[in-house]
Amino acid sequence: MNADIMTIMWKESKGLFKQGKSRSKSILVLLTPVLMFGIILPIQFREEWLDMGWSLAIALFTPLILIAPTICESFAGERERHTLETLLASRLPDRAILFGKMIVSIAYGWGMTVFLLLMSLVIVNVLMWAGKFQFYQVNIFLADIGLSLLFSGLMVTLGILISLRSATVQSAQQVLMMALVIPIFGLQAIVFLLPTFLPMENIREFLGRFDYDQILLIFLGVLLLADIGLLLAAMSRFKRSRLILN
Amino acid sequence: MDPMAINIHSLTRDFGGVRALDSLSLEVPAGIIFGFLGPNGAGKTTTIRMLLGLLEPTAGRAEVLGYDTRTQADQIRSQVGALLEHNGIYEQMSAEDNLEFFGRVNLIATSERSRRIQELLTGMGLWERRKDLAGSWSRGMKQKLALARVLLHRPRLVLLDEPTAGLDVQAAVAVREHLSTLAEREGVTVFLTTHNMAEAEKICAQIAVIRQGRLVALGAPDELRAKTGRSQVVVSGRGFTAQALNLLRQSPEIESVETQNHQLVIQMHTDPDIPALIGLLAGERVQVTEVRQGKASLEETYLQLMEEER
Repeated sequence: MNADIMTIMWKESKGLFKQGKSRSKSILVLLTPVLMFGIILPIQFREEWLDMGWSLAIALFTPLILIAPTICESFAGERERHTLETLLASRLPDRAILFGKMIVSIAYGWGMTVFLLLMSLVIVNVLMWAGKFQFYQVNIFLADIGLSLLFSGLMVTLGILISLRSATVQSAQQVLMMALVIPIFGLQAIVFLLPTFLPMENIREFLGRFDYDQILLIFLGVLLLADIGLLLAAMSRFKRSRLILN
Repeated sequence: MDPMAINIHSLTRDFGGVRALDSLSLEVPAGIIFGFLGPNGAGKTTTIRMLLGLLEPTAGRAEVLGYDTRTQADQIRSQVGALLEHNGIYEQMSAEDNLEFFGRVNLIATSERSRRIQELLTGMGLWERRKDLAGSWSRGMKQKLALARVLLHRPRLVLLDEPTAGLDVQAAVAVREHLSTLAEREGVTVFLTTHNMAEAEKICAQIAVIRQGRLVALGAPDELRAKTGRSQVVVSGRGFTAQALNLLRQSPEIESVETQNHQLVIQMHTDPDIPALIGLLAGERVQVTEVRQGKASLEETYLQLMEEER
């Protein structure tokens, strides 16, 4: 099983920078977070970047930008280009195909996030050198690492489920983006409308019981549960007999 | 070793209310090229998918290389090579990487893998262009690459869904020759579907014809042609008048008469009495230069089978 997963990972990594037919498009997608989160924002925020939690933007948006096209290419693309059936006709177990593809996408999104966290750290230190190396606040750095890993997992598992129901890569990407954006707008709407239904003092009092770290931990816990649920759904959905019929 | 590479017993598959395969029973001897013919939608691809264990039968069972398709599909897929409806080539990878990937999939050792890839690509005339992206190749080259992929792990049985469809004449001949060599020299069983009757007649030792999921004929090409009971006489010459043709049509042994490219093609119900035919034509002042007698082609046999089933 491990050798089979490695085989799929080898194949997926070969195609990582050749999404669709354009290598330049893939590199452009890769450069966007590098420029934005690795250079521009650290220069703008300087030392606040390390201790005010702005780096959480990297943890959320880097997986979002990089994983959405990758995971849809990996699953819906394989179907669209008619290579999936040949893969399913091979001796590879369903799980090896699924996990091999998942690992490469998560490693790509999460690995780039960690790389950008370190890159922006170097940029801030170069700009604000005060005789000693400055690091992120530990809780913020750990939140960045944990959040990006769990959010990468969420993107990948959600992307798989959507790709398995989509005829084309384009439609899978559109639905995936919608699936991620709608909850954010929904959350905003709830926050906006909440004061009309509930007294704000009670909400403030409730939230006041938790500090910043606890709220982050609760959020990470919710993400972890969502990841596990979606992973189980993807494992149940990714079966030869079901894939062949679609 | 089981003398039968494939055993199919009353295999049935329904999709919703539609019966795609209806109690199909077949035996495919090992080491031959077996043609599986039928019109579009007859159930050929469904059969191949079921033989690979990709689809479960609604009823019946099948064994491939002695393994049950329901319970031992993993063993089947590891010992069978399959070229399905689409060639399955990764166009964004080089030809060499395509084979490297499937070599790894089939757990071929690194040194053997490199040697085998070189052997197959050289044999297919593709070695010099192994570093090219497969997507930049012609359809024929891709199909040859797909065939190389199928043969990479030296399977005992290959399942090919229309392997020469869309190929030019030269590429199709090359693929056919390769398949014949495989069966003759290496004892590989080839189970192929095709719409090309001439191809089936040329390379298949046995043929099964299905229509609407049901088996309508099975046997060697010669046996199938003989089963239709029709003989054919082709007369070359001049002066095929309407009167001569009408006279022939009145004969009870003659099923049909038509002119094709200045030749008279006569389909017979029974074995023809050639001297009597020539005598009849000579009486109508037809100048006969050549008479050829033979059985109906496989294509004609196939068309007749399809008509009988309507």
